Amino acid sequence: MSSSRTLAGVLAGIFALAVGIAPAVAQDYPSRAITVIVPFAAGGPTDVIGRIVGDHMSKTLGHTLVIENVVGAGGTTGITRAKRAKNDGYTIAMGHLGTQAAAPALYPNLQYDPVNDFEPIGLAAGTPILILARKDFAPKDLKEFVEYVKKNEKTLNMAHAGVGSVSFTTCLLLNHILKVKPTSIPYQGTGPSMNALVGGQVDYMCDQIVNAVPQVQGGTIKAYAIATEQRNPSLPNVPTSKEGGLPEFQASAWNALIAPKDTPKPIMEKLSAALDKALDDEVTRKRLLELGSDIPGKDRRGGPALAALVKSEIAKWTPVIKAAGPTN
Amino acid sequence: MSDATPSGEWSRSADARRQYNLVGGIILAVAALGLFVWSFWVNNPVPLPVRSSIIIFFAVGIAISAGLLRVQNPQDVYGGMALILLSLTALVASNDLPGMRGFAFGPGTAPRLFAFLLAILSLGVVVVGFLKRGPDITGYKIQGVVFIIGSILAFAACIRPLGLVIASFATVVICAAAAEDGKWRETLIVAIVITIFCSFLFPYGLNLPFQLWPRFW
Amino acid sequence: MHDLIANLWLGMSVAFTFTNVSLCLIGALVGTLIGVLPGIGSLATIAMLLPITFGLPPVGALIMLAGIYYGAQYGGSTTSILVNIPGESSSVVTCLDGHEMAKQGRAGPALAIAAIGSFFAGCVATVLVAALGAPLTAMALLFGPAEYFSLMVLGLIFAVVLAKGSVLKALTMILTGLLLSMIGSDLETGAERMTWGVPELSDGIGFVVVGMGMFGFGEILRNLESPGSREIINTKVTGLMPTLPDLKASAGAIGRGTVIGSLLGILPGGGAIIASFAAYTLEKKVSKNPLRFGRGAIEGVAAPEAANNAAAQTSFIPLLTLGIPPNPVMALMVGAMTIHGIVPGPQVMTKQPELFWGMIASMWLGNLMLIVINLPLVGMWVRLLRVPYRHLFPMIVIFCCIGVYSLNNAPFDVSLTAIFGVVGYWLVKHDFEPAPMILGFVLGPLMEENLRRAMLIARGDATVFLTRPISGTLLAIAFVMLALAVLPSLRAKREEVFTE
Repeated sequence: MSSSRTLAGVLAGIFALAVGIAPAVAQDYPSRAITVIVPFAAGGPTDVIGRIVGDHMSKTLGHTLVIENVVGAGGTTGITRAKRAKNDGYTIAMGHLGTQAAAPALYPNLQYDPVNDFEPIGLAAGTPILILARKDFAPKDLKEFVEYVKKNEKTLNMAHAGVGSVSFTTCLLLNHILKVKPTSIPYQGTGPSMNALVGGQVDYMCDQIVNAVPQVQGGTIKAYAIATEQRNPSLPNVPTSKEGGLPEFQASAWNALIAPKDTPKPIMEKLSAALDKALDDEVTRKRLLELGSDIPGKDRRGGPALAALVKSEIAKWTPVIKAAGPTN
Repeated sequence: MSDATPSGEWSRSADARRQYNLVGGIILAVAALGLFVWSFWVNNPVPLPVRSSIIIFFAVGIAISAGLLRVQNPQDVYGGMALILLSLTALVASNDLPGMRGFAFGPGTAPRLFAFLLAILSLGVVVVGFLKRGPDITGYKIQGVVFIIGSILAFAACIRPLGLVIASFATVVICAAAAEDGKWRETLIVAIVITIFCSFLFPYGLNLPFQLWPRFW
Repeated sequence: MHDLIANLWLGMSVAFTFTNVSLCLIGALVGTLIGVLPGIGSLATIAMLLPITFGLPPVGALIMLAGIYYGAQYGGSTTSILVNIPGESSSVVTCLDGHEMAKQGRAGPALAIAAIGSFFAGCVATVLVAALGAPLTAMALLFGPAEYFSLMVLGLIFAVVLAKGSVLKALTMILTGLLLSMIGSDLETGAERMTWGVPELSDGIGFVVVGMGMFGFGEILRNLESPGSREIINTKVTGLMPTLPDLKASAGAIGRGTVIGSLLGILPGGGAIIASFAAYTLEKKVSKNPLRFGRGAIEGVAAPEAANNAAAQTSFIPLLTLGIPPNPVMALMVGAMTIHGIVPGPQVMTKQPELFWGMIASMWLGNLMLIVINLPLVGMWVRLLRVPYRHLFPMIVIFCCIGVYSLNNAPFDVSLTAIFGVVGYWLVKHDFEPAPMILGFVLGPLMEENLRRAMLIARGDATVFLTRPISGTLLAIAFVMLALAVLPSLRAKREEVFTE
């Protein structure tokens, strides 16, 4: 595969020279639209964040960032395609918690290595995780919830949005911390699982704040805790997991822009700078905050910070997933 | 759907029918043999009932081809046999998947259940086909199959490396050869018109990410 | 009642501005165009057009996207009737009698009745959404895994009834469809099932791939067999509009289809898919002459078209009242809303009434646009059929190829479609009907998922399917329907051989 690609690359180079069109050099970058592979369906949290950030980055870079949704296999299909893309900066991708940290433990036949196959552009925005339950679930606060779940482990049903989804991985973390193994009921995506929770067919689940805000505000479900350091302005009444007495439960579905390995440095710098600028832009920030997402502070932005994050997240999630037993 | 032969009358001569069954039976037997060999190649040992079913299937194929079993309704017999083969294949392919774990379904439960039911019902179709007379299978139009399928595969092969323009032109030209009443000049004109239409409609009109020309153009 | 009128009035005043009407028209036009291009579904189009709507006001953007959705739904039935290619799973049934009518030179009436039926259904469903949205949502929430499983079983029984030939063969086709749908990753464990190590298969085979191959390419292969059948398509076109007897025959069908579609459309877990099949089956059952079905009965077009449009309409209910998207297209609409700063959810109705009622009013507006666009187009479509078949089929093939490719940009999908084309041709040769197989294929994953969920929640107690009232009722209906289908065919079997 790789040798034929190299050959193709060499031929391409010769051909381009022969025709007289030099390949785009870094100084001129970008000279055309940039494709951003989003490995999830359009309309989902990662997609929406990608579009909002991409919208502003397009203005900075002078060329449109076109979102291409390549869905499948918990997002790994899209990231695999990004790995195989040409490293000229015209194809980048939006990786996230699942594809860059949980995937190595979840998928034994993963076609990429999150650490070595990509260059980090930077962290975009994350969506905090909430512990949610049906509206008539007995416990009143997180403390009671923890006790109740531990006591009734056998009879409880926990929903998740499918193997590999954020809701699945974070539920594993919660179960890992509580040392429980409730019956887990899989759904095909966050919509159906939320529907089941609203309908009272399952007892609890973990999910991203974007999906939960309207339901919690509307009182159709309840939220016990948010797994971040601070409370979220969208749901100011929901305590943090630390306040509720479960400080180990920290999880955010972070999204980050990545580029294929060996994308030239000047291009990487331009992309990182554009992302940074987008995250400082007032309008963009407002739109992201409306979603309930958390925007990384200056110290968490940029390539090196992302590279460190990916490594630490892999270290964090691998034991959790492995402990839950084999999924396939 | 096929109202071509209205009654259960056979349209072929006795000789042609014998030949059809000879070839048909052999094809079934060979396919069964292939499946049998493959069943030793998969990771988990395939259970004995599945293997013996494959052997019985093979025997029935031979019997059909030798004329020992009288095929009364070829549509049902061959149709049913093919579906049995499909379900046996599914049983072999899903063999390595874990089944029930307590009350929880495993990944293999549903495929094996459906494959088993399909095999039973298809067996019913085959049995009916041996007992009750039905129409012959009308001849296949090989020219149509070869060129239509060829053109689609050509599209699949060309679209990535050669781009939309060449791929669609080639597809239309190959495809048109499937018609008996095609004329070359006419076909070329139609192909050019369709190609131009497609190359504007999809990338520009609908903004789909299509590459028009070969890479490195 | 008074509130309802006041609310609808508010909605109308929002929707009937010049900008919004034109956005709705553009949406419906684009949707129709997309719908008639096989394989390019509304999902891809809405995703493509999402960035364009960034600059629009939120209500306008949503109205336009909704217009695309209806347009594509409707456009899908056009291809079903003209060239036997179902754009979406809901238009599979339209192929059965719609394309048969086209072959008999009655493409015009078929297309027109589809438009009229859809329009009527759309009007009724709009009022229904406005008046009963909230209580209907509560009803939908009563459906748990056990109920959905029983609904899927009932849906598969419909497929037996709608088959023309032997019940036994229809059952084998359903099981074949179910088996094919098992290919791909397992939902619960993520294990690869019967994928033969092909990564492209790990997410299963797409509906468009199977539908287009079996119906579209299969049909072309069959048409190429005899020069005779090609002439049937392009000669003797008898009238563009339905005749008075046609309308009379369809009126009841449209009414019943609307009711079935409206009710099933509310159920987010696959109700809309079953709607058109259920409507067709009901028509065949109530008809005095069920043998006409599958041979160009106009009710067989009117009922499912009304049902699927009504379902398309009422499937907005869970989205509007709960903010939970019932299907991928709706999920995209949620995305569009969030990008525009609207958080869809239970509060939209009270917090942003102009948006909520504007959307509902625009549904009706969208339906009006569709009939305005499509009735004049009937003549054009019918003229398209007069193109000599030797030129027409290469066009169909290339459009299908491009459409399938555009789904995932995967050449593999295109090749797979070719294989299904051969399979479809082979099935017809052996007198198997593809429609039950398609339904089995579409419902298979839903059925398995819900069965497994129900068993997990009930901790392995299979009696839940009978003891839960809704589930039990659905299963009882399914059983009666199957008995009705099997008994006469057992009796008639002997005679059939001689009479037919």
